[in-house]
Amino acid sequence: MSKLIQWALVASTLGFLLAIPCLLETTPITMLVFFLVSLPLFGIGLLLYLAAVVRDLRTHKVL
Amino acid sequence: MSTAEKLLLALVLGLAPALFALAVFALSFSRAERLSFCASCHTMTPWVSDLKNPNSSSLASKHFRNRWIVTNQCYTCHVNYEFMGPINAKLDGMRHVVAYYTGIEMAQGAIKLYEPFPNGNCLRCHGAAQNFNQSPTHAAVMQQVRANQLSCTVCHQPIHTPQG
Repeated sequence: MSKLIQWALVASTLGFLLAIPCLLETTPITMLVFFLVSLPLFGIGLLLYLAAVVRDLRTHKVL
Repeated sequence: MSTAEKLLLALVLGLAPALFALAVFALSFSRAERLSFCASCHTMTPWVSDLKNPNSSSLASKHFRNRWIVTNQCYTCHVNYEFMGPINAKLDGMRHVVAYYTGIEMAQGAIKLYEPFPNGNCLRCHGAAQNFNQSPTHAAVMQQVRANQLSCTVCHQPIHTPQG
C-alpha cells in the first residue's frame, strides 16, 4: 500500500472520529469541529486517494 | 493491489465519507434549529432563563410560555426567511464559537443583532392573522410595517429581558 493511500486512510479515519461527537450530540462546538476539521479531512483523504490512483495509472502507462 | 482491494479503498475513502458527511450534515442542520442547541452555549443562559421565566414580561418569554411557537423558538424568530437565511444563521452561529474561543471579532459589551430585526420574521406568522390585520392600530401603519420601514419592535417591547 502506497504512502499516499496510508495518509488518505489516516485523514479519513480522523475525519470519521471527529464527526462522531456531532452525530451523537450536536452542539455549536461539535458542529464547528465537524465543518472545519472533519469535512476538510474527508476532502484531503479523497484527494490523496485520487492522487494515488493517478500515480498508479501513470505507472501502468494508462495516462 | 487487487481489483477488490481497489474497490474497497474507493468505498472507504470516497463513498463512505461522502454518505457519512451528508448524514451528519443533514442531522446537525436539523438539530441546530432546536432551543437546546442555542442553550448549550453558556453565553445564552440569561436569554434562555428569561424565556423560561414564568414571570417575565418579555415577548420572547410569552411566545415560549404560551406555546405560540411550539418548537425551535430561538430559530423561528431569529432566522431570516430569505433564501440564504437558514444557512447564514448557522454560519453566524459557528462564527460566534470561533469569536468566543479566539477573541477575533469578539464584540465588546452586550450581545446585539448584526442588523435590525426584520419585520418579515414577525409577519411570517402574524402577517396573515385576523387579529393583526383587523387591528385599527396596525391598519394605520400597515404599509410601513410591511415595507419594513417601521419596526414591530418599536411598539412591542420588551423583546428579551436577559436574567442572571
